[in-house]
Amino acid sequence: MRMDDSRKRALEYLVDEMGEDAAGRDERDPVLEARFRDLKSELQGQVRRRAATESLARTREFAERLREGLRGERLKEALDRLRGTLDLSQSEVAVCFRSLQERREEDVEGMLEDLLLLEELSARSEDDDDA
Amino acid sequence: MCDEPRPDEMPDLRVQRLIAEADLVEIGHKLSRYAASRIRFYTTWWRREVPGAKEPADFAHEAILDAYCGRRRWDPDRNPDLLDYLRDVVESKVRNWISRREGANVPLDGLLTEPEAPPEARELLLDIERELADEPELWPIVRLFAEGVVKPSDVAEELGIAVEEVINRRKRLRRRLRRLMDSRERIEDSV
Repeated sequence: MRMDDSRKRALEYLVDEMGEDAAGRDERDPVLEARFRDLKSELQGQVRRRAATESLARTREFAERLREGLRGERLKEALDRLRGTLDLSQSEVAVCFRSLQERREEDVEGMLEDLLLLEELSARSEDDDDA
Repeated sequence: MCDEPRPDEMPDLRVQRLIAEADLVEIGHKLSRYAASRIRFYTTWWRREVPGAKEPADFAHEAILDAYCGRRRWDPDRNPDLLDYLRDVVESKVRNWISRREGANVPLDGLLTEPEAPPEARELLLDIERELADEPELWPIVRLFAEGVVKPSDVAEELGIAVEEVINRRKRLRRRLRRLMDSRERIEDSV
């Protein structure tokens, strides 16, 4: 077999590729380490912000539908119906329940404001954590 | 990072969370090594010109972001192994990069069968086949490599043998090729 440089390089590649450790060489490059650590941290921050934003949007929707539901139904019935149709976390539902237990129907506007403020503060606090 | 994705292009939060919580340092290293290996493959076996403007880690970084931003759709229910999925993305990106460089979609499969494969590569493979005539069970490993089947589990499936047997044959093949290279070099040095 004739061995010019290009053949040699091709064969060397094949030899390396057939190596036991071809798929799993473990050395860490500090530059790559920093690069992908930064990327991970950036993505984690974005995910937290998106989760907070979506949570806020869900709570707003919940509040809006709750307000509509309260016009013609009893409080408990409205909540039971709405909690099943919206993807709210346990803590979000608990906040609504507590607020509703403490307030009367005529004060629902104040309760909604409290809820939204709570969520906004929560989102802002997560943003601060990211920074 | 994600250039103004339309809402319908954004992956589920669950998918983004899975990517962000994965061991991206480990995955980034593995993908960078994979990209380097593929670039080396296309330059040495396919004789492709590869510009130096991009580093292997750039392909790894872009692949992760593509999946995160929804430019590539990772479905964790169908393919739970993120690294496995991203390897395919890197492969595709490296190929596209080479194709764009050459101004056309160049075929990059089938070193033995593709008419546009470099004749030198085919000659080298056939030389290897002849050299392995006394251990014919090693040749299919090289043949599959020429067809782009490299992952031991894929090779095992193609040949209908156990993965351990693939690993074993690859070790033997490696020793054999190494000896072959050394002996040829000695002969050429002595001429």
